[in-house]
Amino acid sequence: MAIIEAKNLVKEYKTIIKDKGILGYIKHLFKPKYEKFTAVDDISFQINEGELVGYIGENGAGKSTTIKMLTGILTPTSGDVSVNGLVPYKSRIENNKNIGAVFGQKTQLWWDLPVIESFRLIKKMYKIPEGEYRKNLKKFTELLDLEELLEKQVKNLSLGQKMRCEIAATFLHNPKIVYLDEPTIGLDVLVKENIRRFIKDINKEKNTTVILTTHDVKDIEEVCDRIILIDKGKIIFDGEKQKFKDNYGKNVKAELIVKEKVENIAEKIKSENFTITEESNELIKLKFSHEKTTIMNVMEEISNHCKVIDIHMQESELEDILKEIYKKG
Amino acid sequence: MIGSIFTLARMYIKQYSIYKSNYILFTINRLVEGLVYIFVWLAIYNQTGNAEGFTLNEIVIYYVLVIILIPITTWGINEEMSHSIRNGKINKELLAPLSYFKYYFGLNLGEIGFGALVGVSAGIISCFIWQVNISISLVNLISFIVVVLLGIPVTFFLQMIVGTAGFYTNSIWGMQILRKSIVYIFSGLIAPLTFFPRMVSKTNKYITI
Repeated sequence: MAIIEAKNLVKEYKTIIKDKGILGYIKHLFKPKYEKFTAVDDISFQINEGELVGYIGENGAGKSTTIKMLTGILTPTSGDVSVNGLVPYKSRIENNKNIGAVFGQKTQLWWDLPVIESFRLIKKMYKIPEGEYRKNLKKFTELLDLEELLEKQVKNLSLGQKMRCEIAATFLHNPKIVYLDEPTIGLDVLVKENIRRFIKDINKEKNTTVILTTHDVKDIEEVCDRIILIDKGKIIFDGEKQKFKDNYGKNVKAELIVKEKVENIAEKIKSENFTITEESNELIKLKFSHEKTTIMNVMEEISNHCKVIDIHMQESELEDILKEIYKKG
Repeated sequence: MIGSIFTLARMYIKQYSIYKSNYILFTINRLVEGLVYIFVWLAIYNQTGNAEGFTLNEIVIYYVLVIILIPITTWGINEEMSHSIRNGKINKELLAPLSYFKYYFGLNLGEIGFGALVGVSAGIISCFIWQVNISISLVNLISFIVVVLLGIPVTFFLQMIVGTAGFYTNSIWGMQILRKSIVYIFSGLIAPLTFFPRMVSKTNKYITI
């Protein structure tokens, strides 16, 4: 049974239209004009317990608005949403007891106090039993390397240290669902790896459902099993990560190691089926689409101008696929 | 729920008291304000020798109590609330497993708790400076404390009215000044209510400040 259900969700905002210049601003005081902006446009999806879902899209696609509706912070304009059997915006407090959230740079840790004080507050607010609290604290301290950070004031921590503490704080009360809105933004490679490993471990151990919004493709590659791609408020893909690559990743990159190559092969072969992106005396890099041709056909054409010694092929990376999708808009 | 509220209050007190300078500067601020009030009344007494039947000693004691009470009755969370609405921190506050109202009540209690510490410290120092001897019976002291405690929800509701204006305005500064002015006048922090025109005393019967 689905733990999160969104059905025909819509969120509209009223935005101000102003004429240019200072007169436009003054005119707006007396005769304001508004237009409707649809941030989320009739989206529907179901997420089962224990899933690791990457909720991705360009800036302004509607990701954070969706998450805010799922957490009960925003009320949908229309449509239905159910999280763990509750309607989030109607039973916000009850819903909050079972969820955790990280919102990028916004922290739940108290700035001037040591990290451990914030953890104690969370323990009290969520009524975490003492045994459970100590067990989680010990485990998270080990997994996220927090030993030296617990007694430090939050304001004295680096960005990476703060995020590790924030992640620990989010999972401390064993929430069933965790929303991570850009949790690795601005962090170095090691800290990102640490956090990704932690999320996967906790998901495996406690079957926590994780919804991750991120622009870091590696987060999706390493953490998520399923991708929901949203663009201009609409869902354009919802399925397994591999299916996403199969559906959209029809482009292939190939590197051919050659000898006895003629000059300027790219000029001589102007094929519609493939594009030569780089060439040197012994190497030709090209790309082509599975839909238009096969590697055998490509090699046949290239062999007319050189001898092919070896070939390396690379299927589309997730990053390349997303770039193409975002470019097309 | 009560446990969460008191834990939030304790966190807020800890946050304020982690910096010694906060406590010292706030206490000095209260002392200076008290000094100004009392010097003004000294000048009045030197001129007129009288103030609506109050003796000079009574007026000094009155303003020592004002010094103690100002942080408890006028400090609060409305500014914090307005800032959190503007900078988006409200998203995190709305994810807490208790209502927004109770969350801020807890923080408000913390602010008042620290305010009480500052007020009482400034009051004790003022007693030494002005050589004031406040003799009070146990019953009167308990009644005084009970009345102060009953006033906390009233001031909190005023804080909430002003703080939630942050959903509609860029800045609540003006509303905050208005709130403080109303509290200062109608609670007698500026001057005993008998000094004001009858209209003010009459109005005060109907409002809870």
